[in-house]
Amino acid sequence: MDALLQRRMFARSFLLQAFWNYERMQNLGFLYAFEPALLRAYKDPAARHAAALRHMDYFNTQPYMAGFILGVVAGEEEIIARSDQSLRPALVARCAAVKRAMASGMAALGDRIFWGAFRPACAAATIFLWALLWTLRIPHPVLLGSLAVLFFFNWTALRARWDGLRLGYHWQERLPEALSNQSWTHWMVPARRTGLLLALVCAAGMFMVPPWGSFAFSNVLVLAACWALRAKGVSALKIYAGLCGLGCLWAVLLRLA
Amino acid sequence: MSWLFLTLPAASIGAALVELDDTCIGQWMLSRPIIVGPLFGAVLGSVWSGVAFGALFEAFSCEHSPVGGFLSFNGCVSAVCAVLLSAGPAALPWPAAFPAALGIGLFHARWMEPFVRGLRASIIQEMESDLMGTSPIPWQRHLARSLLPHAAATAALVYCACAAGSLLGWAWGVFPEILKDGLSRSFGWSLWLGWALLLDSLWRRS
Repeated sequence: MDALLQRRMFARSFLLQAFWNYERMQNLGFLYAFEPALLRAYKDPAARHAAALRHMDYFNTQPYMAGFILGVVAGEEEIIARSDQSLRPALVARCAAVKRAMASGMAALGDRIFWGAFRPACAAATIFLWALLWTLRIPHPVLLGSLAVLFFFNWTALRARWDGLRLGYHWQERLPEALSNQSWTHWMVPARRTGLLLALVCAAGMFMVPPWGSFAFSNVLVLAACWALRAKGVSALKIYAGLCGLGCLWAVLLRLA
Repeated sequence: MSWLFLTLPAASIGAALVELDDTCIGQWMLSRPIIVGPLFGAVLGSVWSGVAFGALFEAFSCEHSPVGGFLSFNGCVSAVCAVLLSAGPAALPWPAAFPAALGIGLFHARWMEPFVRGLRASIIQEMESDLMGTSPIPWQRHLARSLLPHAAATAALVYCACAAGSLLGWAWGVFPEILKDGLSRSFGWSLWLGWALLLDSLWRRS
């Protein structure tokens, strides 16, 4: 894949979800990001539009991982465009099957890496950095902490988008196997454990700070109860509603006492 | 009056533009509550309320993955509304601003966004008829038709909800003291609920 095509698809991939609809989810966003590859593969507008119509099907994946699929499908379309007319139906069917399979596989991987690990870890890291910079009396702790975490998260996400285009194009159907050997896919567990450690340090630190330190035992109890309920699968909104009810009951009992 | 005709409209448009990052454009994490909370707090001269609400709503939205069509809660809209309600002229106390903003975030995710997404179905049909011909696809027009209603709906919701802040302030004033005490206590506890949610989301899959 040449740099110009990669740049164009990369820039357009940011709008992958701009057309999100219930009928076919990211299909239009995919087509928008993929259009430069179609323009490159098909010089005849009628053939290009016929190829574009094939990509109006249902499509849904994790947005940061879409680059890999765009790269794979760009390679497949180049093969279709160069192929003999008699071979095209089989190649088109293979392209559609590869796209569908890769989309769900990449969605599962991307959800676990980005939504399941990096995002909560980054939230914990942001709070930790705010507290650390504030304790060290460094000016603008909130701004610096937020910028540092934004930079780290986006560096990872943008690299996945950018490299994904090139690697998907290069690896084609060997993508899942090749991805399992990539170092960044193994960061998931360390990232989550680091986030957990930072969150525990911050929460423990808060128990020592007034006014929370004065009610340390009751706060530990609330934290433990909420965590236990969440672990049982009770939603955050239900737990909050329960806390509101408990708070009102507490206020009534205090009045009566 | 400058609040209703200048500051709040500007803040609502800003919130709507940043909120597009949540599901529509980029996903650069600019719309995360932990980023927009302090940002709007700093603009309104109340960084710490932005920090508190940003961190709380981040923890509340941590458990929700923007997967497929599932929308449960919009942390960005909630964080912005909480900051605007508490740091604006309504000066709603934190225990009142938090549940109000939580409700606005729920409304956005469960009713407003599904409605706007439903409007996009017509773009597919137009696009298919565009592709039947040979002229270039008018992407800019389709993009505008897709994104403008979304941004306009978000801006209108934030504006209306925060313009009604003084009404909420009045309602809080006439609330029974016992309920105010209860909500204040539960707001104090919700900080620990936030930690529990964050710890659980990091622990569960470890």
